[in-house]
Amino acid sequence: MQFKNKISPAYISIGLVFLLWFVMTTIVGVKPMFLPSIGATFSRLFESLFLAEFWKDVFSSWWRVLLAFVISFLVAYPLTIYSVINERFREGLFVVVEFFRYLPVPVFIPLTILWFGIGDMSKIVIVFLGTFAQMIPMFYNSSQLMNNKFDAFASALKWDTSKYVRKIVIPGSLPNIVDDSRICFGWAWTYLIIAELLGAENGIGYAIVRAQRYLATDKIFAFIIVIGLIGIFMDRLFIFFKKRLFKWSI
Amino acid sequence: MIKFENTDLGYPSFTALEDFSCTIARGEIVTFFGPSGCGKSTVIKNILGILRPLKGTATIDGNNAADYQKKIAYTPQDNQLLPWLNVRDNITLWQKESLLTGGDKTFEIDKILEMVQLNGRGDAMINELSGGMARRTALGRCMATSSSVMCLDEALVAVERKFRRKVMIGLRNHLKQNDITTVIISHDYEEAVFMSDRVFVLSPSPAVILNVLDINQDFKILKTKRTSDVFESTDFITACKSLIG
Repeated sequence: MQFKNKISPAYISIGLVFLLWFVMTTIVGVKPMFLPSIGATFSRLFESLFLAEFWKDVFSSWWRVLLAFVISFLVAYPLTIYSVINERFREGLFVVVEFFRYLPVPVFIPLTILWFGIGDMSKIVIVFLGTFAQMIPMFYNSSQLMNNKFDAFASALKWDTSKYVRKIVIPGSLPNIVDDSRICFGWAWTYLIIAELLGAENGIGYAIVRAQRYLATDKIFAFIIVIGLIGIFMDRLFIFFKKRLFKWSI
Repeated sequence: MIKFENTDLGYPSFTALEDFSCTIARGEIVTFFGPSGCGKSTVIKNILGILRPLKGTATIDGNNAADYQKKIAYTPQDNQLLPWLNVRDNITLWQKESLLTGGDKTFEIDKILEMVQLNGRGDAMINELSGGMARRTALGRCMATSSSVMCLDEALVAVERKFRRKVMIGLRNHLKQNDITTVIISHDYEEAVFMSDRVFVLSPSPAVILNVLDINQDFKILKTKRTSDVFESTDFITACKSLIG
């Protein structure tokens, strides 16, 4: 029992994935063209670490997703806060947001390529479209949790809505906003890779398309692992900042 | 002065108090005492302007309570302490706010902390406090304001028994020294008798005033002093019994 308790569930999950992978390639005998071995994949990943092209692809994707995410946040958060203050504004905004929220963002890729070409701008627009409409209802729900929770401030201190939002809703909802952002960042990353798969000059998505042309499945898998690792890293980064900045919420 | 004249209090679909009239003089401390759910908190909600009387008028210093613009010190039942601020900052925030609208008294925060038995805990975050400590912080936050009207909704219920009497003594002295008109909601007879000048005993809902206990008039010891030895006095015990009875 003591031995069991010492193994983190995270390691067990990772172990099971690798076990399945191993079984498929070694025991079941799936061809490397369809599923490369663990060894081939990691040796390709290791080789890639020494290639300038690899880092260029990673940083291109990184830069795009970060910029698009920040722009999306800077648009979505103020709109959300204003919709908490102004009910009529919220009604108007949410009609548009709900419309966009149900649209599959990849349908915009042909249009963004047509309008902005295959450079950074089309990717940034796709990530923006994919995340801002998700951010607004999530941020709104988190902000609403604070609304009316501290009604003594309105009734006893006679605070108006705008002061209440500044002093209570914003600081009180920030930990949840960080969590919402963490989830949205995952979507941003997904949309970026899709956009890069369908038309780009560089980036991880484009690197996967390049590898597919040469049937370099091991390279595709190496990049899939890179995407996953970046995801885990970003997730942990958000959690780290939340714990450091908002100790009171834990 | 707080005045309710021939009021029905409650919600559009539910009347909590019927034909309710009372006048609370400046600096007076009154308690509304009654069973749970009889509508005691409705009185406070009408003073704070959260609700308006269904019938009649509720006024503070001659103004409709709902339009009264000065800050009212208030301990809501759920404390409503801001978890991102520590104990001291929670208290200071309300003090600063009350000073913004003509409040002229600045109480030393350390003295307030001492009054509510939280000496040395000013830097503690709200999620580090026990239920009783959080309640005392909410009380301290109220005491630090220079509001001339104070509403204490079940303020001492969650306060630990070992601190309750000490807190009551400090609280009563503070309210009297600063001439603060205070409305207390309670179903604790000891708190009602010790803290108040008058106790309004309410019936179950829809509530009416069953009895008014004039503590200063009817119980001589309590008129002259409210110190720790009062709790053991015959007058105090008799007053408590008259509430229970």
